[in-house]
Amino acid sequence: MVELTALQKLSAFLDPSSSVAGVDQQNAARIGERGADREAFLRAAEKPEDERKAIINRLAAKYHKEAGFEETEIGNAVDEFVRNIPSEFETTEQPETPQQLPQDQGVIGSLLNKLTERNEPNIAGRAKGQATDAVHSLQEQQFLEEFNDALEQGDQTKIVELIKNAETHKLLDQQLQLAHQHLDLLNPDELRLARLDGTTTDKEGKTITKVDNMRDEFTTQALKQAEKRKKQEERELTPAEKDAKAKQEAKEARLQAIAMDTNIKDPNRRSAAFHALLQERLAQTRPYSIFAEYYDQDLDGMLVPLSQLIQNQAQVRHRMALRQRQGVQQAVNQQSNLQNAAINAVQKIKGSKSRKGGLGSLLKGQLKKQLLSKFKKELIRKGLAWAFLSPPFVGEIVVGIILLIIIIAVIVIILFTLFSPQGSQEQQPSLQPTCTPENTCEQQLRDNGVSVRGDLSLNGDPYGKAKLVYDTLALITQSPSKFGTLLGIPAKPITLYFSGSACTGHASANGLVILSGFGACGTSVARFMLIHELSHEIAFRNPGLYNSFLNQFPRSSLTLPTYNCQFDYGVGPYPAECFADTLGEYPVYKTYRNIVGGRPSYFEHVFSSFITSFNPFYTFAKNNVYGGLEF
Amino acid sequence: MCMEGWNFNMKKVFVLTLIFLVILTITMSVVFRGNQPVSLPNALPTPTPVGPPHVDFSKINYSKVFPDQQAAQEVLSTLQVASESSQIDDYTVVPFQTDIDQRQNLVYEKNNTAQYVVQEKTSDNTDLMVFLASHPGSQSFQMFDSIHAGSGFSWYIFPQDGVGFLANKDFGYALKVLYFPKTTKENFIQTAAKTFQLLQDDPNSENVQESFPENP
Repeated sequence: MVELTALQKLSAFLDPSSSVAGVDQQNAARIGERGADREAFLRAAEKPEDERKAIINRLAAKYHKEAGFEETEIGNAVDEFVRNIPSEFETTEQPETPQQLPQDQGVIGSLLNKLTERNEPNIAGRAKGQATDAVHSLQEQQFLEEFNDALEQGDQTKIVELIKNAETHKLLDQQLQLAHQHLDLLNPDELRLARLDGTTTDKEGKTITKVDNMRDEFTTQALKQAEKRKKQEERELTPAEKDAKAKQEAKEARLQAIAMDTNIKDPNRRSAAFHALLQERLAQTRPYSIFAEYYDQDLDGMLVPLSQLIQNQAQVRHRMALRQRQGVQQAVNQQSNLQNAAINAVQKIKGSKSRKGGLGSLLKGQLKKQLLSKFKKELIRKGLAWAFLSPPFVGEIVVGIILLIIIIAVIVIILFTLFSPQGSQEQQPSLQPTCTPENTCEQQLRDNGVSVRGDLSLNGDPYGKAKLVYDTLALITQSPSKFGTLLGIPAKPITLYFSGSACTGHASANGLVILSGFGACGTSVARFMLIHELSHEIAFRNPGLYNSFLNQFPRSSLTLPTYNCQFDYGVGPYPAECFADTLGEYPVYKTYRNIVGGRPSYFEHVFSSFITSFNPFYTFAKNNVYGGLEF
Repeated sequence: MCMEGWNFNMKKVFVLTLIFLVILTITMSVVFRGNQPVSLPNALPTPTPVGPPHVDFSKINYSKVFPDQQAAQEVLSTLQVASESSQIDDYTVVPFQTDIDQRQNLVYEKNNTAQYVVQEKTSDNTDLMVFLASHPGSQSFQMFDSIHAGSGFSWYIFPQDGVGFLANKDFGYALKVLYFPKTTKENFIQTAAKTFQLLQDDPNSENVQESFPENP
């Protein structure tokens, strides 16, 4: 058994995502009570040496008993930690994190450095992530290495053998997915891009680096894209398309002019412009165009990180393409099953035609005639034929039948509505865009079925939290959104309770939502927290909607790059968390992607690719919850 | 005259009442026909193979796991082998496809005898509500599935009936149905609960909170 260092024990105690061997996971349950200390620990690696050491020592003194080590044990570990990151905390592989660039690369290098810093997970959090991943994926990695070797060698026999020898379901799923990728490609260009890695040797024995590979590949892709765009532009554009194109070009030209204007003395302004330009291109899936533009400027220093950004984009799009192809395959399979069922049914009908009184005769309407005839005979035999034959009663009978049918129809509709799994709540909350004056927010929320309890003050404003809740609810429940209807307010009340300082939340099936540190981490985080927790309430109150999500996104295909979807409750992804994150990201994706300690790492800090790279999730939220409303 | 009037009114009432009863009977039988017992064949239906399973599923004896013929009929008549079987603990698990790929019905088999059948419910239903209505005296207890924490779904186990529902109790809506040999609560917790990693405590209890700490 591996003996844990004091630092590891402290780290495992304070980080709920940790699963370092030998540490009691129940610690995670107590984390909510000491959110500030946990935050301080996770951010310690970003601080200067002295400050970092002071933080670790303070936390060790405070928690060493609970974490299970002697206070004195931390000394040497901290000295080592602050001088030189210990090997067990080092990152061995960071595909999504570009390398640090020298500062003399000018404005572009400066920008990319900035991006790198923003995407850089703090060291403690990253180390925890690695420990978790190592524990959980050791077996998978061994398999994947063998499998990737077989893929590289094109050894299909080996691939099949590996699949047959799979030891667990999870491995089997991964193997099948990889087999699909390898054996039945949707887009060879995308796959080639997604696989570019390491070094290769050309015919003359010269080593070709990763950058060389990427440069050639991206240049080819840029030319292809340019040609494709040219063809698209040759066709007649509609006025709306022309207008949109002109606006886009003007926007990009404005950003590019700022980025390249050496007369602007503020480098941050130029960096921001270049960053915005890059995001514009990425959002339009035109990343190669940037590469092509800067290719001639001999900016080798930026090729690696930029290439990695682009490669990440390609990998994501490739995965989405594969998923879409699998979806098509599923639909084809389903159709095939339906056809088989139809053929079987036809054969049964044919078989029954030869038998007297069988299904064939039913289809010909004979049974109907027989039933009518039998019914009449029965009526006559019972002496009730007069009811149909006596003219004075015909009108009364017809009126009576119509009235009874109407009554029965009403009863049936009421019964179905009462027992429908989706419930019968059609009431809508009526919220104005904002509440004025602010001291009425609480009452207006209550009128719409949402009670707010606890400390309502935020940043000196005594009603700040109530106003933030109101504004967020007003935003997401505005017509044509179905969010309020699905939530069931005002008929099914919700109680929001504000407590604590760490930015956490919890939803209960009884309608109680606890929000800790609401607003303390910024408006976007607060909005996401609130909508995420209310989305749990929607799942509680609309089981059919959750089942639809499960049908569309089985656990093996949950890929949303958010903390709650990927890591919460331990190893994720868990469908209910991904459901809540899908609905939570929808209104805020342009400004916030839910991460904790830099996890999960992804090529962008915000989530602007939600609408493109994760379109099925975006569309689910848009169509099923937000009624087509866009933000 | 008076007698004639009485006869006339009585006839009208009699006719209208008769018509009402006929229409009501027809309507109710149409509405609730899904809940009525159906006549079953003597032998259970045989699942249709589409792949090369490790086990000869057609020889599996299902008699222990199903509480009645109707449940067996409903589950087994739809079974088609989705992919190869796998091994979990001592069980060979045979997946059977549903109308949704990747959501598969599972048969846990040992020694050619089905030990558990897990049926996915991919469409709207009120299965738990229907079961409760038809088994008013049945004893049940609740267990939790960490996979679906935060969804409102938990397991309602009826050990003496050999059936459990992963369901939202407020709506009687089921995601999955688990069939197993009739047993006691204690025995279920010692055996099936471990196989399916079911928990006695709610993982979504209030002391476990989701985190959102980073501000962009």
